[in-house]
Amino acid sequence: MSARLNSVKRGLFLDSVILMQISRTISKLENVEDAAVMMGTPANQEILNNSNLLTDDGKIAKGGDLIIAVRASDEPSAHLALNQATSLIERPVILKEQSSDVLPATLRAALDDNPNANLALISVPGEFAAAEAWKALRAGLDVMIFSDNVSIEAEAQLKQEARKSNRIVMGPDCGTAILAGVPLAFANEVPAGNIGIIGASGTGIQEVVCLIARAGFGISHAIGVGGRDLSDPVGGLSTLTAIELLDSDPATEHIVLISKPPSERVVKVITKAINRSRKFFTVCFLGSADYVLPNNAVSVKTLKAAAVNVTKIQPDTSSAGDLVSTGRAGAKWIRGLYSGGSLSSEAQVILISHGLKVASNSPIVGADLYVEPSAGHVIIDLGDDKYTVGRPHPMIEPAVRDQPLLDAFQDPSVKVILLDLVLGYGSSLDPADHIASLLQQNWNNDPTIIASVTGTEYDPQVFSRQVDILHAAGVYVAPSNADAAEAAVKLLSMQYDS
Amino acid sequence: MLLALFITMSKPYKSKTEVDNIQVSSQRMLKDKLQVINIGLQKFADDLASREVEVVQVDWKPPARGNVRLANLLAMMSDY
Amino acid sequence: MGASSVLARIRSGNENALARMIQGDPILVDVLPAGEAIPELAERIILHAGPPIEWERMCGPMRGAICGIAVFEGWADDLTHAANLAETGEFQFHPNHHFATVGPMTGITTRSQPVLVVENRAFGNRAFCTLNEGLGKVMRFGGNDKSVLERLKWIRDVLGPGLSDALKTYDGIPLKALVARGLTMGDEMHQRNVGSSSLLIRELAPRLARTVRNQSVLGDILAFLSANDQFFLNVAMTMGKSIMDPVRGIDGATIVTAMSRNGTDFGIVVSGLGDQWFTAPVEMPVGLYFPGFTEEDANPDMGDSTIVETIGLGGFAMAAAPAVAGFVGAGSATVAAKSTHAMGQITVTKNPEWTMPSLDYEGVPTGIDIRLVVETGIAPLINTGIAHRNPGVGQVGAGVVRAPMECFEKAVEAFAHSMGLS
Repeated sequence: MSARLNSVKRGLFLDSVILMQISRTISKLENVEDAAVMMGTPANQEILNNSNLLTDDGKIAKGGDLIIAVRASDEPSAHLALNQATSLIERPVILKEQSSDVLPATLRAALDDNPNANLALISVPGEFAAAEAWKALRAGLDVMIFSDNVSIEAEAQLKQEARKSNRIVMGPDCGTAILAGVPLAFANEVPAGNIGIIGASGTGIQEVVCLIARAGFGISHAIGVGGRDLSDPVGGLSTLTAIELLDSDPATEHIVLISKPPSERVVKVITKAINRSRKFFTVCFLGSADYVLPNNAVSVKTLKAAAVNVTKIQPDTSSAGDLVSTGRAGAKWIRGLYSGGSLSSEAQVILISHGLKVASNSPIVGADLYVEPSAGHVIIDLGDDKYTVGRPHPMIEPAVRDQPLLDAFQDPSVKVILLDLVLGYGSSLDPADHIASLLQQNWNNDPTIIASVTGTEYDPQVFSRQVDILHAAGVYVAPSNADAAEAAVKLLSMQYDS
Repeated sequence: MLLALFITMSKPYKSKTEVDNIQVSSQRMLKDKLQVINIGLQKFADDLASREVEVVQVDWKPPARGNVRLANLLAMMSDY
Repeated sequence: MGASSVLARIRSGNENALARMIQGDPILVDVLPAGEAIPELAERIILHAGPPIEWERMCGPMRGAICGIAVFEGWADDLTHAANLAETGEFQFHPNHHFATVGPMTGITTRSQPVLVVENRAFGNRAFCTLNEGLGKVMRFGGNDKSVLERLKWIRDVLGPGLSDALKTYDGIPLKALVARGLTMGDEMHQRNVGSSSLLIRELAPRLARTVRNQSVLGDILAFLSANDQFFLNVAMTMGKSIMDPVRGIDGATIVTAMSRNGTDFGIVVSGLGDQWFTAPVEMPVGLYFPGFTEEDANPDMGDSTIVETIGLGGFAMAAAPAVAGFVGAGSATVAAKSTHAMGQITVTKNPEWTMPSLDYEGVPTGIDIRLVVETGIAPLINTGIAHRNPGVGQVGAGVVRAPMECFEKAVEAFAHSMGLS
């Protein structure tokens, strides 16, 4: 019988990255089965309850309180973990008190500190994000909402207000933007250039800008709009604003638009806007059928194709290494373990284009919904809510991918594993090294591993360094995610080669 | 710049006035030097500061002691 | 109603409210018997500090003060008799605030006690408050023995008329400038009034010398004033009330016009919500105790003196009074400055006339906005004296206390409702 313990810290707020780091540290303690440190909102309490972590002690917590929840195999271990969590939680608070300045507690007070601010970057828990965005709009700021879990009604209202007041709301769930070279949230360091990006997906933008940068071209701006912008209720309002912004931006000559397939009504709206524009468009609606687009636009099927259409340069596969099937006989499936949502969509596009049947936890049109356990080609998006509640995103914490990787090593039916590494600001500082040391201890070249790295030489992690580490560990590193998926498909027909 | 030339040649152009008549959103975001107020994850502010972008970090706590309904009421009643 | 018209209403309401606060021109004009200053104050009517409360729920010190004053006014033969009369409903209890009046701690005000009269010349309204009795065993802390009543009699018969005569020889004493100077002398006008009391006595002494004929009476009055560092507190409170009354009842204003506590409940009044009190159980002060006393002895927070925080003084002006920061348990001067900055996050402006030298002459944070309090979760910080929980003992310490967040949350709910939001 395992022991569950909860402790509530009244009125204590810590940002979710710190909380998740603490959760992870505690989870790894001896005899601890599961642990989480979360704000006590009803949604979080439900998560804790579903994970068999919530006790009556924790249930008294309010939204503004912090819950420490531990489940361990015995009571002393649970107590030890709880104490450790408490001391970790108290540490950042002490650090805060040492600083001599009073930090502004509100947007209003922050504007007193810098009245010239022009952008609010919002990454608070989703239920509070809309309120902060309203305030930012009223203060005359443009807004980027990194937070997810904002209702679609609130998103639509915010974007309507932004249109009225000549502002833009990027997001909610906008992971990436690069404005005049400045990377915001999860974004890459790219050279300046004449290509503008509008993206309803974070890693989609990242892959395209990195491919463009590595081909020797540059980016004017990359504007994220949030995954639901092109849905019917939102109506593509931020995409429209972004098109207008880039259309009148003298630095931008070519615009790449990336999204999941929009609703039919919204396609019409966007098509009109493209038709009005004097710039050239490359449109990538990942996983969609063809759309009829105006003369100044070309439709492409993959992120790589979008980059190639703009640069006219194919990624170089010659340095990827030798593609060799190292999997055991009888193995026949592709297992994709992705940190980037759009990268997992792009992989599905490629597999389907080769007539393969594929399942995914976030399936594109033509793919099946993945239900564990199931045989066949599987592409998992580890950044999906199901995997990230109370845990860090795999781009921040590469260890999130460890267990799925180990499971794939154990599965004799898996012939090839597909991986993505996303570099840039926000992402973990050495994801390749993490994977390399895991491989060194647990993998003897079986099954084959194919990876791609989304990043540039100017990123904090340095693209070439990450690629070298993966190569040295025995990983085939394709020059783009699409090439990685193509390589995986190619490998299926190859025989085991010792 | 070849690309621009290509577009000019291949596409039926609209007159300049026609384009100017389209309601264009504020260009401020792309033109002005970015100055950020970061509400949430400290890391985003640190990353911006490391690139010498001006950023003010808000010491954010859930408004109204975490009462979402009250927080939303406040948002409707606050300038900012 | 649309959100934008709600915002417009709030914006103009608060602009109006703030303008009225800053325009206020309080002048100390007289000292009068309460019954004369407040005509409604008939026999057996007892005004008290804080939001409305009935005898059954009153704390010990307040009951003690009521018994004492009933004897003083001649309504009861002794303290036991007075308690019986109170229990059987022989007295009417009302908050001071409902009669343009404030009172420190228990805040008991009855008809024959002399009250300070401050006139707000910008709006023509007057406010009232009893005279400060000094430290030790006093009625405002629930003291009610013979010595307490004897002092009240002297205040009524000698000090009150003496001050009245002196004040009538001039056109009153303008208080805004006096407070501005007091702030530069290390006062925050709640826990520390050394500078401003001295300035006031400097104003009064020559006038008293001309109007009080009996040398020994003059000596007594000057000795009493000089021995009382906190004499100005009651003047600051009267001033606060005179400034805030014209700010009451402004449509759309989210500014707090009164914060007050009766030893049981803490209550606030909000400009745009009429005269309604929003209350919550009062909190315990945290602070330092006189030798021989501990927090076991302390009564929960009490008094109308929080009117000074409502106008940006007291805990809000902590940075001006580093000496208080240590005394009230708030720690170092740096912490004092931080407290003032924190209060800046829940107020809408800084008073340009009341500045603090230690903060590079920044104005005191002024105009508590219920929206900002609830949003930030930063509760107003109040400097306060601490009364013994038993009646008749008196002051046992001093410290700081927070206004309960619940009052402000209730007020925000009610305000949203009044604006048609839900």
